Amino acid sequence: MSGATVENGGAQAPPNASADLSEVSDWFALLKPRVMTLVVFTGLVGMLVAPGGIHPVLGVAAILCIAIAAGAAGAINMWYDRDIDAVMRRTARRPIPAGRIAPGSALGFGLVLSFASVAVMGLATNWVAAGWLAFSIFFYVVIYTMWLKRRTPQNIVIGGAAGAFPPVIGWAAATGDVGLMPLIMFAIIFMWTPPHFWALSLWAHGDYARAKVPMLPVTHGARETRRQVMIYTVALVPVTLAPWFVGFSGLVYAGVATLLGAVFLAQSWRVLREAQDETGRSLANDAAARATFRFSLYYLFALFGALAIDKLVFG
Amino acid sequence: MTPEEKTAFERRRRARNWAILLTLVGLVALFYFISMARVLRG
Repeated sequence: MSGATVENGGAQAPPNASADLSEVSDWFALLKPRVMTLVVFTGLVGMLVAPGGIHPVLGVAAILCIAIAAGAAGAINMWYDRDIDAVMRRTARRPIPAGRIAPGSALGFGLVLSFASVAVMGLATNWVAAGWLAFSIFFYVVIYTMWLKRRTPQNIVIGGAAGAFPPVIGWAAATGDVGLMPLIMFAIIFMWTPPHFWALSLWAHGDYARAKVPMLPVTHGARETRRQVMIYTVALVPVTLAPWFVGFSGLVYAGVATLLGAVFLAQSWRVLREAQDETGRSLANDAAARATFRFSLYYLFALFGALAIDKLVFG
Repeated sequence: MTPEEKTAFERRRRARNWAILLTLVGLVALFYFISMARVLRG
């Protein structure tokens, strides 16, 4: 599974004090499985709603490639961010900062999986999808992780594009092409990312400040972050209705998107108006921000689920 | 290394080796089914 296993796991290798401490679960954790869930789901929806359809075996292979590529990018991200992960409470127990996996092994693991996922995607479906998959890995690792994350409070806004690629890749895997609809799905996730992540950063700002990561609450304060969560949610709702505007989806989707949007707006309003001190720090243990973060996860699942059901059931 | 640490080390190594084996078998099956699907699809 990795270089570390080979280095320390030879039949004659005597166990010693520097023995490999990694469990299989540590290698799995490198793939950021929780992030992968959303990536797989949105990629699957992109594939299911695409015209023409795809052979089920090739569809499963494509989804597997999207999942592995996302995990590989996550592993390389953990390799690069191991210094800041070590000082953030939320990430200090990850396998690299905890010393269970050597940084070089994690990098090798991520690179091998990246190349393998792109190659298999190309062989199983088409090279348009493989190209988008490769670009999504590049975007997350180089543009977001290495370039933007430590330099600008806009890191999440631009870097959010990395998480928005899966439906485009899913669509491309099924059709060999990218048109207006996959770009709309991209735009939905792109606009959803800032309020989702900034809600989290409102209560995790201490971690980011310690790690000197310029997240919005660290650079511009909690009050401005609350305002931006509201602004991006307001901007998100009309974008979610775009599939209906362009005639791709019907009233079922439009109704669900409107309802979900109304709840998201209400949640963001709670974040904006929550009891806070003069700097915008919560006086209620960030209850509104935590609830909004949780809701935003269900929101995206429900929205993309509605998109798929509208297309597949109500056609 | 104490006997307990040695046992834990060997358990971890065995688990990793099983994971590698299952991954390789999974890849063989995946490539087989991809090939079949592409051939049957024309």
